Amino acid sequence: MSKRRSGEMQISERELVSMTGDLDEIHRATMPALHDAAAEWSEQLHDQGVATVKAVARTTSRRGFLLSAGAVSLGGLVLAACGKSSATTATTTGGAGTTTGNGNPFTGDLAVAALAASLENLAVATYQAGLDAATAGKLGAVPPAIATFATTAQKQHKDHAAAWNSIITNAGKSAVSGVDLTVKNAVVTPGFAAVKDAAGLAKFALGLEDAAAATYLNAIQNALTSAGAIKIAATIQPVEMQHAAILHFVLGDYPVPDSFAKTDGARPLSDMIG
Amino acid sequence: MSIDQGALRSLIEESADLQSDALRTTTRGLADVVEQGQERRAAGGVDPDETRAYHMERRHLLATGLKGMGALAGTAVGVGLYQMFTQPAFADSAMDVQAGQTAASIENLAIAVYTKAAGLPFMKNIPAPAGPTVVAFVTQTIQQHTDHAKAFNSAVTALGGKAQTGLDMTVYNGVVVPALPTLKTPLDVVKFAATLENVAAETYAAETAAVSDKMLRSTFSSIMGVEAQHVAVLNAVAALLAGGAPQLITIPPPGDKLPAAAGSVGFPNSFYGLDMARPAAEGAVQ
Repeated sequence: MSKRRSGEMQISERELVSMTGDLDEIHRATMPALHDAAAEWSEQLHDQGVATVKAVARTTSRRGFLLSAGAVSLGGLVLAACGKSSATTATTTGGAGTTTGNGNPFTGDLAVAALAASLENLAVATYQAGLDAATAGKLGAVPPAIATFATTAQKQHKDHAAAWNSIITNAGKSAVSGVDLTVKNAVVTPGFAAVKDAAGLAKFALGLEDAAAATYLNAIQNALTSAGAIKIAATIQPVEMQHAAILHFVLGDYPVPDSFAKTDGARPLSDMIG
Repeated sequence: MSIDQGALRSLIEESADLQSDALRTTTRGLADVVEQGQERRAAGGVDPDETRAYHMERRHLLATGLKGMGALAGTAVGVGLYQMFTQPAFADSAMDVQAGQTAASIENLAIAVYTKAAGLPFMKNIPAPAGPTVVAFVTQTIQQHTDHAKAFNSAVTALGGKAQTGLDMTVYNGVVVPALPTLKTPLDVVKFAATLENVAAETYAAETAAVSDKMLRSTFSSIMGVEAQHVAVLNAVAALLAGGAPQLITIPPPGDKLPAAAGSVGFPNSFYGLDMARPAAEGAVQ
């Protein structure tokens, strides 16, 4: 196991990369379940007459599913202790057929999809801001593992946004290209300005990941009604929690702090999107 | 480079406090499980169409899941076993109760496997700092799986079912027993544990969408991500062990010395898979 021990850096980057060499294949393997869930949801939307569905998601190509993230614009980032965060709020506004104000033009499960897409867009933008700051040397020395984390997590958030937007567009609506403005204005913009180093960036990102995971959990438990929508959220929430675990680890915290995931910090449907 | 055991213990204690808060939330939710279940039974029980759709989907998942699981564990899953698993559920209780019992059986199995693994001689002799870090992780993870088993069994009994105190014998006999003799190094153990954690996470993600009881869904959904976190940590530890860098397995890690790939090896997929999800009735009380 440690026959090559000697210097500070015995581990080979190539070895680690080879261990993850099947990631693309594994990732592709997870797509059918997601497509099924999307199809199920779209069919339900069609049946309900919620939207003029042009085609069910079963006909959506993987390319189209993922590339719709390209339409996603950037914005800001994280959240952690936004005083307005409340699972209860989301609960009271999340039922099927409910409407939301504040820039979220959708109802029912689609409103949750829009909120989720806006949070994912915000995450994408914030990681980009962090990577840009690191590249510009504004964060001092950035460990390569943190840079890789940010790049990988950002890509996964793009995929998540694309998943939600595929549902929205299959329902005949326009994709959500904006961000959660409530979080951006209250938390991300002022918070990111205070980030001065890699540890600060990791802590900031942790707040965002925690909020995303909590929002999905709250949506599953209290808001979403379609089995397909629940399934999509259930395949994303664990990934956000994995991001959080690695960030906890990097920050020196115990990586799995709770036996049960929490809804604390979940974003409500009343958040502004734009 | 030495691990600060006091700091590690402190971290674990803090996390224990935090999880206690979360446990209280789940316990409150369990009270609603009773009400939801009673309402469903009062309304005539399970919708036959819903049940049929549920089992069709689970059979589809299992058709690919067992193949993957067998490959991952490096063990043979026989054709007969495969066919048996892909048949409709054989237990006669309500599907939500079965799903909860199966989840408890998976948790019980995880506890047993971690306990067994921790006692293996080579696991007791991992040099510091990796050794104490792994021991601390195993200890805390056993506690968390114990909490999960209790939560699932509370949900099951609240729905009128019988608590599952046994193991998922299908996974135990088909995967664990054949694999145990092949575990020769800490890396073997860590990779095998990651596989079992993945089975748990994927099962719970699938059940989150499949069960009809709202609060049972809450229980599944509040646990699936925690198992996924176990997977992320184990993936990272496995990569560092495989790369011959056990000295980097410590809390906090020496961030500037971690290789770039260590930042992403823990979470390989954008979407959590469902292929290894176990059938709802597999661990049901017979």
